[in-house]
Amino acid sequence: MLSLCEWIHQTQSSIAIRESIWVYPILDVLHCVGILLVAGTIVVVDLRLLGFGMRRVTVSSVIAQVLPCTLSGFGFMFVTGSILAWSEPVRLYHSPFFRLKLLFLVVAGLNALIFHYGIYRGVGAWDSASLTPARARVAGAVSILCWICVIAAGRAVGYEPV
Amino acid sequence: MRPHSFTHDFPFCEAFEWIERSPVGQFLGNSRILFPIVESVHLIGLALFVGTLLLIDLGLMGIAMRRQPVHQVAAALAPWTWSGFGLLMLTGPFMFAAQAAKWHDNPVFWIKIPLLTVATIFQLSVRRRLKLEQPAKMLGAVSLLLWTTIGLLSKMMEFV
Repeated sequence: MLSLCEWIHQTQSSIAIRESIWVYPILDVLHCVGILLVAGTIVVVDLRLLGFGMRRVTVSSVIAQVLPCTLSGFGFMFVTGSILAWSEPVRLYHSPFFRLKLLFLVVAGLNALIFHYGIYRGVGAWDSASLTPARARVAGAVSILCWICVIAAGRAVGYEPV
Repeated sequence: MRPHSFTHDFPFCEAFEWIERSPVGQFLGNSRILFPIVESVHLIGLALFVGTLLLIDLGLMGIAMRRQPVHQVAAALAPWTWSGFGLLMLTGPFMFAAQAAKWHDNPVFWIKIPLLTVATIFQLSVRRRLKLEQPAKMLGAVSLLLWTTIGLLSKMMEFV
């Protein structure tokens, strides 16, 4: 893995982004916008699952309406994030906070999948309930915590000594 | 003794310097761990604020959240929008205090703060008075534009 990172590090494209005056900051700004969209909109779904907001709207309706915003934010975040990682793979390889961030991203993704293909399949039974089943509430809580950790760990990556 | 030599002739340079040299400014400026923590809380507040506001604004514009009346979306999400705003207002001044003199010299800072004031007044006064029964496209678009600009400026401040 490290040798792969080292190979990416010395490619023309990696060097070009790393040493650019404008491209890196612009990508960084867009990446931040993307992650804010993801975390800031999925939290509305999580809050509904936890019973802290939009209780008069059915769960499936909240999810159907919010998810397009979240997913477009995710696409944005993923593309810009991949290019940013391409520009400094060796530093990120050695960064403990970057690993933490990836870990929380994976947990958030798994949590969403488990929710979607698990308890959410039977959403018909509790769609309009203000108190959702325990498994749905756990999914909401895990999601909020994961995204808080992703943001905090992501910010910490920028403060690590090179 | 002046720790900084100001390159721009913006007002209140003594005041900014005083803030940075105050115990709070010194404490945050010298701590390598505290500042990133405060900044993370700031970003989490921003995510909450921007995300919920985006859904309300897109609702006003008739683009998203169309299955229920906009005022219902706004009423349900407003407590979270303002919680996010509270986190931002709570952490922002501390981040400012840690590097006040640096921000004094930053032109983007002088665009951000007045714009933030305008956007806050807009949010508090204009929106509160409207009944939000029907989509109000202009209102949503102006709000979205104002806050997106402020967000982008804030990130750009780091690079200027």
